[in-house]
Amino acid sequence: MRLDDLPGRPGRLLGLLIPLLLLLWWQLSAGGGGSVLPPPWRVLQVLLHPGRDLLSSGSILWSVSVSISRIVLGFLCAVAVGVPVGLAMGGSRFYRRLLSVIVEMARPLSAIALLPLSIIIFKGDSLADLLGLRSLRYGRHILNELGLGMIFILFWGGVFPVILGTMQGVRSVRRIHLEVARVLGASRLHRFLHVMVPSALPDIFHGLRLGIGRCWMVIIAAEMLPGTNSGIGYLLRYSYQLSRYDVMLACVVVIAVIGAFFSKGLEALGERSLLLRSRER
Amino acid sequence: MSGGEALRLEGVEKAYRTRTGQVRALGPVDLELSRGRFLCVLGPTGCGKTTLLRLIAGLEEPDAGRIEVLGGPPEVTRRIGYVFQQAALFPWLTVSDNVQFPLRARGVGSTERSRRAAEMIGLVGLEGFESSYPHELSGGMQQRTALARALVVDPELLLLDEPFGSLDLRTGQELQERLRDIWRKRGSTLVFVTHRIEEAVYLASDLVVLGHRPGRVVRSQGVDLPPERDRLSDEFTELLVSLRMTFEELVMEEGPEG
Repeated sequence: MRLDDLPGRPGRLLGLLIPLLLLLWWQLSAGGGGSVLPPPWRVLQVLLHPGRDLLSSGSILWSVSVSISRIVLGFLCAVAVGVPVGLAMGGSRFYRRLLSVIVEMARPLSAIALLPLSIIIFKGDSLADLLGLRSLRYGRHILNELGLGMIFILFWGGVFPVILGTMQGVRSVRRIHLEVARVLGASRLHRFLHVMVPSALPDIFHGLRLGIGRCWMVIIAAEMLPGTNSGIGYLLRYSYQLSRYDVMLACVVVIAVIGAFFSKGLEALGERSLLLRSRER
Repeated sequence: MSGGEALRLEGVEKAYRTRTGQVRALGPVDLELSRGRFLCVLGPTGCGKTTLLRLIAGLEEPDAGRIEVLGGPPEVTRRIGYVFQQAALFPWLTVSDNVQFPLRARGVGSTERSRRAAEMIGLVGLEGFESSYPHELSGGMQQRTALARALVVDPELLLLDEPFGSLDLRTGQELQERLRDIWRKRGSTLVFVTHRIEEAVYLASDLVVLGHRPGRVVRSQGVDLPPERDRLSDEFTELLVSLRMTFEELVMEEGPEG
């Protein structure tokens, strides 16, 4: 039997072979006393108790919820702004001309580079402050951890892929579909909602996927910077400073898993909409 | 719905700008059609047939001349139906939803929508495929769906741009028969553009032959063949041959590449 022809299940499990070998190698090499890294089972132990307070700075679960809340908030802002802007830019030459220069100039500016500026602009305020919940100020409450500066850079990181994806989607709408809709008596609004948007959906989802991936990278980097004291990125840096490499590696695993989860989740959603646009023959 | 004028064109001209200059696509063309007729516009490829339809539909404006459609200026009105050369179905909608699209655009309620869609789907012979998506259909079935979609709002004037041009002969002939039946039952006015002489002779109550660039009317006549047409009858063949000769003269005139 040729290697290409491995039947269904073992064939699909083939992808796990290399990770397992790496894990084995790690286990073997970490056994000796001279190794810097803790063996995998120590990392696993940290992961198996995600609710346990670590290094007096909160549990993994807490850190993850802080990071995810930040992302969700920032990304929602990016979608709320990016999709309408993308639709406008894709649908009208006026808006494309008005906005493309600023988008093209702003896009390459790294979100991380904007963190200090945006903290200054938002005066270090958190969502709790914005909502007028000053009483929460001194407790450990999640609203306290949602710094507006942080949310802003997540918005920045996510918004451009969303804009460009949406614009691309609108621009790739087939002319004949718009024309057919017109001769079938559809108004401008009807054409927009029932022809433009469904045609653009797969590209919009592609933009969303890129956007949330960017957000996830931005948040980890931002949390690792000094001045932050919560989130999974923070826990990663802090455990490194305390040489608690088991916690540090556990953070890395968590970050990888959540990143993959975001991307796969949106991909699955997008797949459904892609299915709807399966090519005409 | 017979009586009255469906279509009147006077000295209509249209040119397109291309990179190398202007190309006269059409005209001047004069044309008249009463309501309830089935007009076939016959002409070789590139004679401006599609342009003519687009002008009538109001998708484009003429450079000169006057067009009157259903007693008014041509505009994209809801009284006109249009079937394109490609089916151009919305791939994200099922057959039934595609057919319901124009009804939805007119704000027709959902029960009424599905009732009328089901009726049209039956009329074009697509029962059982209501919930299929366009990519699951053959070319002929896609074109049936497009026909149902255009007919579902019962347009007073239906424009068809070589709708069966890409289909195989058998499917094309079956759809021709269906279209004739629908026309006879509904009494609406049809303008059918094609380059296939046989198709035109089979369908038309009125015939117009367009010549090459710029497209102009070189022959215009009524077709007095019986409603049930026999493709093998002498009269049918006679008209076919005579039209073919007109076509050949056109080609001679224009040279091999027109």
